[in-house]
Amino acid sequence: MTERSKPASQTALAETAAPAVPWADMSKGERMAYNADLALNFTRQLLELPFDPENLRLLAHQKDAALSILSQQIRIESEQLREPRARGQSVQAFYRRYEDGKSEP
Amino acid sequence: MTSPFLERRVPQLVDEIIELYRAEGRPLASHTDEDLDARFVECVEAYIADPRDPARFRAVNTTAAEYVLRRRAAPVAKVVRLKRGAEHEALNQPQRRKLSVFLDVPSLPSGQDLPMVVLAFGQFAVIPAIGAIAQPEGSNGKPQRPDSKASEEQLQREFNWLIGL
Repeated sequence: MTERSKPASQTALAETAAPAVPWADMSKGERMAYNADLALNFTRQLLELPFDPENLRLLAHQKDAALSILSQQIRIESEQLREPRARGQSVQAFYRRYEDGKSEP
Repeated sequence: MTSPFLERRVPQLVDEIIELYRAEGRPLASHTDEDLDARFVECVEAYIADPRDPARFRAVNTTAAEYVLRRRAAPVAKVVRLKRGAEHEALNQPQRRKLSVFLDVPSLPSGQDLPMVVLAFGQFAVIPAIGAIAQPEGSNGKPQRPDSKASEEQLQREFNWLIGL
């Protein structure tokens, strides 16, 4: 396990070197984007680890990561296929925003 | 020639309004046709008086849903400013504020008729059957114009929302 994960960690270091902007100076959006990059790298490395049916703990983590990604991907694709009203342009959302006093769609 | 607005956007709006109306238990089902017509004119006139009151434009849409479910046409001519002409003078009622159509969208071919109702969303109203987008007349008889940059932007956002942008 340790031997397998070592190269992945090195890759992670290489790919997620310290950000150009210090953390303290980043906006919330930049921090989110940076963390998302780290999470994507980590997940990729986890899924790229060799398949080992005897290592049940690793297998469970890989399975969870894979299922989670599949589920997110399905949600993204469903959202893209939906009509505009279902993407937050619905009549109900329009009413709600008006009633909340924002009065803007 | 037809428009995506009438082919897709308006049917979506109608469907959702009916869905919401059914979820409320179809509250106008017991109205007679005459009562419904009277309510329609009353609701649209109340909306014209204050188009930014959500309760008022929701009431217009609730009434529209009942018309669609009955497959009846609402008496739209009573609330829309008609083009000048002798035959329309009696209906035009210059002393009353009405909906002023400012955009005619190319209509659908026959067989795909949309309902003759008024749908209202903030400062814009739609009459699906004739492919018209209208605005309520102000006290000077013309659609109210934005009086600031912010209200102009809001008007633009509402229009974009209406046409599905």
